Amino acid sequence: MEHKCLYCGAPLPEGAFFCHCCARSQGQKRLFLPPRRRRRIRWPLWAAAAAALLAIACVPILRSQAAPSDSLPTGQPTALPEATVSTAAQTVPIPETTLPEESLTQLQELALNAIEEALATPDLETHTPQLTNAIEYRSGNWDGKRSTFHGLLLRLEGNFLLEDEYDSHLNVLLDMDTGEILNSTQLDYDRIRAYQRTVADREQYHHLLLNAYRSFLEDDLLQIWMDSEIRDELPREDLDAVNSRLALDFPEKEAEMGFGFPGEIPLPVQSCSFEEGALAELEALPYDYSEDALAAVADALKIQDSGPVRMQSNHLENVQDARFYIVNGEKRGQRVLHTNGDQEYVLYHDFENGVWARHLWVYANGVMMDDYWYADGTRAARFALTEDGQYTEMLYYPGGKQSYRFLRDAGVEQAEIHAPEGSARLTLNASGAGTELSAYAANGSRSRHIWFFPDGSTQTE
Amino acid sequence: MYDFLLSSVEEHYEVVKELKSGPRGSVRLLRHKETGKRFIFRTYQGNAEVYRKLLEITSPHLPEILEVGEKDGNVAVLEEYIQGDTLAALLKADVFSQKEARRLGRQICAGLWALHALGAVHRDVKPENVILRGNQAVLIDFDASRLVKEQNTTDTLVLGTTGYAAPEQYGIAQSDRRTDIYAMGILLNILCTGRHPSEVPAKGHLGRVIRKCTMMSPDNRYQDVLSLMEAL
Repeated sequence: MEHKCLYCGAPLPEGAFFCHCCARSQGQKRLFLPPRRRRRIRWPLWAAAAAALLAIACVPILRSQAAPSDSLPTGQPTALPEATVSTAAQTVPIPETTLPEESLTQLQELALNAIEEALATPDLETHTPQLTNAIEYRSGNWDGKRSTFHGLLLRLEGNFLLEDEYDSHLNVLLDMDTGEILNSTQLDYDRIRAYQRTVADREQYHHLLLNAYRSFLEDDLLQIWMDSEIRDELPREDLDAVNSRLALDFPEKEAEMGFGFPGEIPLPVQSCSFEEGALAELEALPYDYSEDALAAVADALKIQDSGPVRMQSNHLENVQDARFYIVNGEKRGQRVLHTNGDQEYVLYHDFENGVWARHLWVYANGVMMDDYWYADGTRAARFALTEDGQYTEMLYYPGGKQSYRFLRDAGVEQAEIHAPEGSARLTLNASGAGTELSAYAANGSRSRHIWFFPDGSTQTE
Repeated sequence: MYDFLLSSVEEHYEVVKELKSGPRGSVRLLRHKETGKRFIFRTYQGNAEVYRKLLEITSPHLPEILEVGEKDGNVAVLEEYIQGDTLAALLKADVFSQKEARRLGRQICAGLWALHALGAVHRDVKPENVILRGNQAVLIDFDASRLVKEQNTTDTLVLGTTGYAAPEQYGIAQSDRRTDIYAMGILLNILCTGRHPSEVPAKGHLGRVIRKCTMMSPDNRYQDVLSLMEAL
């Protein structure tokens, strides 16, 4: 059967798609476009809506539960600042979008209820991490630019929380030449080649393994493990030796203690509320950032992101994460993350300094977040409020010092802390792109940036 | 069809420029003598299966394949000429903003989606193979493309571009759609930093998307381009 062009009639062979005489395609082609997916509603928007609904629904419930229990504080709800606050440094007008008294009461009640639930949780299961594999890597100078790499990839089994997701494995990559713990962005792992090698100095090797065990990093090295072309595993006796050391490093009593609140530790909830008089006393103090304030904030930050730290975690209905921080082999603090509905609470406890910190994130009634720090019976607190793009922050620091900072225009604002050894600056960016928390030291020795993104994720540098 | 295509090209077109020539084949810019329209004529040794599939479809982010001929392992393809600069050329001037990189990434993903929907993988996604036509990114050059064969465990031929090729393209496993996801991650990083992610990783949300794209294990990457598009 003879075929002809649909447009010019020129003869075409069977199956031809194109006529070269008139340069036109024959017939219709299917247009391939990807299906439109409904975009996910961004988390803060959803959370704000859900929290608002929850808050409305919770009002009668909270009122019915308003009678304080024996273990909970009976202090009066926080009195809000006056219309203006006069300080030695400046007079700052307070926006009208202050936190309603009732809302703060609700928040405190919610927090206390959640803490009480956390305390009432049954014993938590503990897992001693086990080193299951170790692979030594060595890469050549493959492109003439990079230096060689000699690394050790370790795989631990346990119960780890990594970037807010639980994992039963933890992979750590060590630079064998420097002892540095690496992440995948620090080397071109595509080019890693593994070679079998006997480790001459086993003591040093074990030391490195233990350091790795005490550390954690995001689990982005799993792919190296999964895709290793050559898996030259180190001898079983080496792994056993390390595991025996790990068991010694993980005392039985700690396992018995679980990861809730050990009974002997004073609970912070006893000083959870702000008495009106105490607040007035704070307000009467000059505008200042003391050394104590620096220490309290620095501790609160340090305990969140100190290194090397060891992490343990467990699941419970409301406690999403509970862990001890061990710095240089010492149990340094504890962190508990638990939720109540759409509200998320994080409690930090610095064992060494007796500092407690509480972070409450609520997206209702204009409250964006509500942080408390506790130290030696005194309190530090931060309320952050946001409404109509306005952002207000109030800081109260322990040791009889206080500071205020009112942030507006949803832009980047700063709160500065000065101390003899240097200064620190906290910057919060409450713009729609997320929240940024930056901490600097004047001597340049420390700098930390934490971004809280709208999708709930964080990034620390 | 192969002979007909070659004779038709000789009769109806004139060669404007030889764009690329190598041991595997050549790419020439042709001008149709009657209409003045320009086309790309591609000849290479290999498999024409992906080009054949593309004959039946169009996508704003892929060049239209107009005719394909194959004979004894030699392939000839006539395709739409995409006028514009490659991303590689544009990158010589400056890197793109993250917003722009995400927009381009979504468009390239739309082109990849069409390919993947046909059961093919591109396997050579890189700035040199993306042309910006106006504000539309068009993914070109399917010479390295192949259809995914579920029963295969490894690729029989290592194709791709060093730096963009996913680990499985080096023979560890068979490349599949997630191979293109990997290359997309590298491409996105280069678009906004000018460098490979192992050298200068992108920051922020896009950085995390790129990191997930470039996970060494395909199982840890986005599993399809729609997921990547959504993330972008």
